[in-house]
Amino acid sequence: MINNGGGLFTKERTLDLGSDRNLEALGFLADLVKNQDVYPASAGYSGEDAVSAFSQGKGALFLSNPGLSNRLPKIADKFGLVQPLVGPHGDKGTIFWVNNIMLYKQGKHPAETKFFLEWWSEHEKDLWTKGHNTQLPVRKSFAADPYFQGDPETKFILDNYVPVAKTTATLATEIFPKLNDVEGEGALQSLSQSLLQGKDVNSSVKTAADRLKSVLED
Amino acid sequence: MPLKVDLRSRAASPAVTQTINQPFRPLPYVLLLASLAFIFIIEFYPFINGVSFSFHKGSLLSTGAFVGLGNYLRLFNSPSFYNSLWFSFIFAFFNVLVSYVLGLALALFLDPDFPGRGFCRVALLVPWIVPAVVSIVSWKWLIADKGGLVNVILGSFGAGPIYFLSQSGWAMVAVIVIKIWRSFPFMMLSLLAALQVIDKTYYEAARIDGANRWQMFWRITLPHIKNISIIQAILMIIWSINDFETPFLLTQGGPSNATENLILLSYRYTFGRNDVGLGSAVAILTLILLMVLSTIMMRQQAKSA
Repeated sequence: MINNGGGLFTKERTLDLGSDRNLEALGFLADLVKNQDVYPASAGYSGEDAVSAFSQGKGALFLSNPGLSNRLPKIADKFGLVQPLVGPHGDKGTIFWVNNIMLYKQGKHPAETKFFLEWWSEHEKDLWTKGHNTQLPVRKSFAADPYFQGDPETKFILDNYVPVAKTTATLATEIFPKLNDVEGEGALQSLSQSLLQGKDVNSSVKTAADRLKSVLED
Repeated sequence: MPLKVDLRSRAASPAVTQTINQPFRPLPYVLLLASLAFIFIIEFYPFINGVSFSFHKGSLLSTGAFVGLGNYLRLFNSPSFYNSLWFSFIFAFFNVLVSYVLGLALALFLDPDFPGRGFCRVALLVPWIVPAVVSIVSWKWLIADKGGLVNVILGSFGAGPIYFLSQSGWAMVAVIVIKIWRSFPFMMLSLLAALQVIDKTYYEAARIDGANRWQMFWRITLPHIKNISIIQAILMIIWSINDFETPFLLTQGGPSNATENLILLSYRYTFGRNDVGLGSAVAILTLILLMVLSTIMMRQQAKSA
């Protein structure tokens, strides 16, 4: 959906799962299933199954997060990265998540905690450079470091994917706390599983939209 | 000669009178307090807390505001709840029914003495003994769409493949069958124990009177194992409805929530959706459902006793 210029929400954070762009993207997937271009067992597969199939050479293309080479070091020299997919309307996109650092309002020293976390976020580069983190850094100053720029895979992602990456809040521009509940509800997984089983797009979208609506209303 | 005890004369005996007239001694009760407090903490406190959570709009971080029956009303308007209730019902129904029939058949088979009986008993207990993670992962390999033994056998007959975990209907069948496979040994073991205490003279007398095997089973065996059967059924219903690991390890409630029972729904609401109030409400409704079912069955047992 995001690759097609769609998203779960409007710019005003109103749920918009049934937008034209979303329906077009989901219809494309449904057509692939209908035309038997999708393996029939896909609905029961997990991310680990995909990694396993790709690592055994049973998959040509694999949507993954950064750091796949570290997960599959034995075949790291056998695969490469491709440019972000371009939708039929010329949209490029991918999804990304930010691992937020949270602090408790009800803590005894919230101001001091915030001060410490700000300091921490400015000085945590060692987490990557000393091999404790394989994900992308949020800070541009970290991303500009030779440690990241010198790694072809990371540099490719930083240059090509990060500029077009969007959050699950899209088309809203900023993330909000309810997104956590929206993702935890699992409505989108159920939606994709329904489509992969060949079920009707409109009824599947309606079911998912109702579930997401109930989460957002709570 | 039957033994008769005259309760009136016992009540008037000096020993009993002495006991009744003894002054109240608080020490035994004081000594019990520690145990009672411990039981309260580990049994009732979590339960009361759970009930309290179900009346609040809480998250994993805070208890939240009191919403009365709000969470329950939300559940009654939720298609997910009815979907989970339905799956829990058919999951428990088929598990109890088939594991009972299978367990009883095997218990009847293992009841008489024959060479290798001990080995058969141990071998048939394996599904119950093996840890859930090991057995369910093994089952996943067996029913895998590619290279799974079941589909290889089907393929050799020109049938299949069946995508057991990828189609809602087949996923439900797979989860139920695997639960039955994990449950029947317990049924078998308990029923075997019940069969072995039936006095064999009943069967000898019936045989002399010309009863056939079916009549002996229907008139002697079944009435003697009726009570244990009801208890087993109650236990199996409780264990089926409370089962988390079978659907979670096999399908995680999918595809499209087809195998999501009430416990998985409670888990999803609590830990996925961060809605502890709604998750607790599902758990409390599940508890009420189990209590009602258990009460009905125990009353039935008491009536027939």
